Amino acid sequence: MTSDQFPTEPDYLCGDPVAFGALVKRYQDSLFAYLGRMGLSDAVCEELAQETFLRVWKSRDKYDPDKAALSTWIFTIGRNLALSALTRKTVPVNDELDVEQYPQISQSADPSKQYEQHESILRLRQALASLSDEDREIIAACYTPEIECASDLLNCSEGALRTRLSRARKRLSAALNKLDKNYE
Amino acid sequence: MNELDESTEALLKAGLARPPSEFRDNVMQNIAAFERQQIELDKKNQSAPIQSQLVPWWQWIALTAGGVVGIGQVLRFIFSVWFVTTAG
Repeated sequence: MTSDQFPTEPDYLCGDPVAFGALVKRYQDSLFAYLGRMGLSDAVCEELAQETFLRVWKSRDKYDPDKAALSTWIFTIGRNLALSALTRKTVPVNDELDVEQYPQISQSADPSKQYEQHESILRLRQALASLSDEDREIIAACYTPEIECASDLLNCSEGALRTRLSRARKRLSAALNKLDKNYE
Repeated sequence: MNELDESTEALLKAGLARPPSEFRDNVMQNIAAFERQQIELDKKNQSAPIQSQLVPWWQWIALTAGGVVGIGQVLRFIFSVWFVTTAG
């Protein structure tokens, strides 16, 4: 199998490193985005994403496709690692952004717009970090399209998920307003 | 879902972190290192039974040699006591 082909689950379960490399390529962006929505810094996101993929590789024999979709399984591992990192309470949030990694910043020609977008990301990250772990994980899961069923990942019903998301969004909005007032 | 402004919505949808360009290579290197470690551990585990067969053999030799020396010391003490008492 070449690295350009999309891995099928049997290839992945056989432990083919090339297939696994393609799997990493497929999920790395969404996993980073998911961890970023948990309010974690770039460095912590990278550390946790590395650990997630390593654990996926180590426990590939334990994956049961009848119980959960592959993406749900991968994100469950990522989620558990993120929650453990958040309970350690030593996770840095507001480190400097590597601008090259953000196309919405680096592709902008206007420096003032670049600065504005840079600040928006840091501000949102700060607001997310001020939320409870529960609110963060709901927002992170619901904004990740690769998670086919966020209610499965969070072990709650669809109705409960909608209510919890609505509350989490309100609290995020309040946190952003509070940050804006502090800046003024 | 209307409390957040459009730019915040867009940022949340786009995600707040991006993988570095060399991320996949780093993951694959970690996996390769893990596999090498596993192979070394397997090798060690395979050679362990041979070692456990050798250990009792040496232990028996050591025990026998130590036993002979110990019994010799006890006999020497008994004979020296007997010699001293009979000579006196």
